[in-house]
Amino acid sequence: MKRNACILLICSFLLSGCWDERQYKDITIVSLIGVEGKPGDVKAQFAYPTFEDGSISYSTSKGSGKTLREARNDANHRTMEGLNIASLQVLFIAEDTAKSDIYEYIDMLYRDPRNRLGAHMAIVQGDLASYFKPSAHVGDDVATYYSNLLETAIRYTFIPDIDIQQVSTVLFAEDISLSLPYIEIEKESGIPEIAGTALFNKKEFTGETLDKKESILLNLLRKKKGSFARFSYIWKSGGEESPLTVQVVDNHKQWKISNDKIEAFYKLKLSVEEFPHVGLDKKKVIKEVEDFLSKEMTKEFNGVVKKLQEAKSDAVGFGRPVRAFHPALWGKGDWTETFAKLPISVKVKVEVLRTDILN
Amino acid sequence: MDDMVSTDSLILYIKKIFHNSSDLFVEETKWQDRTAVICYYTVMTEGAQVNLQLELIRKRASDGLIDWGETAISSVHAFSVSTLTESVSSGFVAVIFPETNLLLQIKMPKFAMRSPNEPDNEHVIRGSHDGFVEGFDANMSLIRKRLAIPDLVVQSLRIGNDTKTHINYVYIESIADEDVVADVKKRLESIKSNKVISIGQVEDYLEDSVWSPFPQFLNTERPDRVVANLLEGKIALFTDSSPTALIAPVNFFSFYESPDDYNGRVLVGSFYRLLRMLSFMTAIFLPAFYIAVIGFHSDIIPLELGKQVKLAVNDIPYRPIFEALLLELFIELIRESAIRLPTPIGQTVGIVGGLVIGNAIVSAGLVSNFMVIVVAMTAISSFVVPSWEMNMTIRIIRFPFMIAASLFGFFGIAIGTLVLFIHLMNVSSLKQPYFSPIVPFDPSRFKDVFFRSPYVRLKKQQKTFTHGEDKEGGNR
Repeated sequence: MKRNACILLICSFLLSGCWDERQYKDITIVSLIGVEGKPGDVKAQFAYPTFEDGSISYSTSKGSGKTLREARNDANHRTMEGLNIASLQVLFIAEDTAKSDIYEYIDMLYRDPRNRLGAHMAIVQGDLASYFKPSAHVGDDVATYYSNLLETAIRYTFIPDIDIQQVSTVLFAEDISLSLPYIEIEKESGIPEIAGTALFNKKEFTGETLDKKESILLNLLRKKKGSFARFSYIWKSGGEESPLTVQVVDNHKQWKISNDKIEAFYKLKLSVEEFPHVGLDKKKVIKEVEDFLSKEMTKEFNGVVKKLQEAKSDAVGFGRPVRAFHPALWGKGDWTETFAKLPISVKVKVEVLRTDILN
Repeated sequence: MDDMVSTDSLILYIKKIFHNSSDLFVEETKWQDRTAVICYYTVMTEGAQVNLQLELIRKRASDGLIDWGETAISSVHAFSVSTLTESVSSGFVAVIFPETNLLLQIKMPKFAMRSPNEPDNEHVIRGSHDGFVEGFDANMSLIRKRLAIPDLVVQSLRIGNDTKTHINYVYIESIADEDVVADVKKRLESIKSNKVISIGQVEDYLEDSVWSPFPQFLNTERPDRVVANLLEGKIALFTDSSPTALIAPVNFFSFYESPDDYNGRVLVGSFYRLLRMLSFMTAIFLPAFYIAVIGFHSDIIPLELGKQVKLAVNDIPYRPIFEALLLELFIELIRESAIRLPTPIGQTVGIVGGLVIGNAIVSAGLVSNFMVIVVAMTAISSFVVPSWEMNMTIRIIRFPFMIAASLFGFFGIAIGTLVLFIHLMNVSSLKQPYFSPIVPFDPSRFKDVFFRSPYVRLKKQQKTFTHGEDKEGGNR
């Protein structure tokens, strides 16, 4: 018994050993990957820091191949040390590439236990190379720039908080569609910026995107608020005009699903962040503001849902309860098709919770 | 005349026994109407005192008292050569009466003695600042001063044929486990060595497993620490010539307790005790962890930190294990040299070693600055332990971990930890479990081991080891 245990213990050392060693100085930390091309002809770009004489500089390397892994191996020929994507921060997929099945490109990421699945993923508009070397100065380390850009956007509810691991979950779900951050380069300044949300149908990018405000609304529809979610309006009442900014404090949703339609009710609790017009201490004014906001927001929420239906992308996840509790509706066929035709109405009721710092 | 000859020959004979040692005093003296021979080592006895005592005893004899020789420090024995040599060697005065064949022994040895200063290796902030000295009587008086109870028992025996070293063991009869006391006695008696010089040698003989890196006896020079341990039912061993007391049976966590914990306040004491436990982890695992991360698991470094780490290690020509061993070698050398040197120079060595070499070794590109941080942190952590032996143990056992980490990464550390804890659970101190109260598991004692619970709540008699159903042990 003791002998067997000893043999087992000694054999277990074979599981790992010096041959698995990868000295930190012998690898290149890739923090940003961009994928473009089409299936069978993948072009990938890698951004990584290089270390020389005690200072850090940043460079990029390109590779191409039939798959992403081959592209990476190809890029290895042009770098000093082996490319290691275990510290990946951001993965970019070019817009045109995403229009075919994106899983074909990212499959490799899920097949190595060392890979970091907590990285962000985004769809970029246009030419990939311009994101690796933007014409405007965004700092030497573009990966950090994009990573911080996306994290800030998540805090402000602009984009869905989704990492590579969650992407695969959603990608294979039939009852919800993927939505990813959409990045473009601002024409005038040349700075890459968050443009909104890219909508997916099944595993393919539909080409339809939501703008920034619609993206916030989408996230509220999904009840996935970041730290902040702000809206601004021009409030008009009886000939008076006033700018108005509100912040969403709390968000309740209730969906009524029947076989031929979905009615969604949202109750938003807001705090007023900006309202130069005096009189918010009066109940009457608050009521007016609430009514105004309810009307405006109902209109906007419905607009977003309409856009989703046009794109045949159920990014909100209406399919989840349908699949669970309404087999008749679910059984009508492919959910994204059913979703696109289903009458969905959204009603928003706004309650002003806080009017200023003290109240 | 016949007497004179025999006295002279006796003196010659005594001188021969002691090989004509020049510090031996052998003189004939008049004792009433007879002669006597006074014999003692001048270096161990004060001559003036001898005169005073002899005067006193002479007076008693001339008064015709039957027990004229029996005073608080003197006694009369039948003369024999072995009594003579033993008395004189112990620093006593021997007065031989050749006619009556008696030997008067006066016990008044004089030894140079330090004052009971605080030991250098066990400083405390609050609490008593006295420490043991190189004499058992003085040490015992320090203990008796704190424990004015008749239950405090001292047993002594002599071991070593050549050195005749006194070994004393002290315990509290009503608290100590009698089996353990008997075991100590048995082990001491079984020491078959001609030379017993230091307490460390005795420790070797008494330990359950000599090859274990973990000390099974707590060494201390502080009376308050000994008293606290005696009250927990432990046994303290002293030699006559060493200020160090050995305390057993101890468990692993005893080494992390400092008198400061109990002299200070509850929250403070608990916090620092926990901090010390944490230092065990950092002192053993930190360099191994760093080596494993750099060599195998670089994926777990956050990117922001990773860039700095890579910048630091990129130009180092050696593997992390060599970097670590090089720095550890430096630190061990600095530490060892600082101990041997007088204090002012020792500090200089510390500064030169710490600042100058530390800085130069990084700029020379031999070692990365992260490794300096790691090794420095490890060194500091190992100095936190209040016990010197445990400190050394920790310094040693981190080397196998470093090698395991460089060969097998985290897996090596995991296997090493497994082996370490299996060993800790198997070690015993005087046949009592070393890793108690974790193995055997006794959560009710956790609060006193990991924290310092307030005195007002300590109701039960605290014992390190418990036996029997009432968990009280011994024969209270």
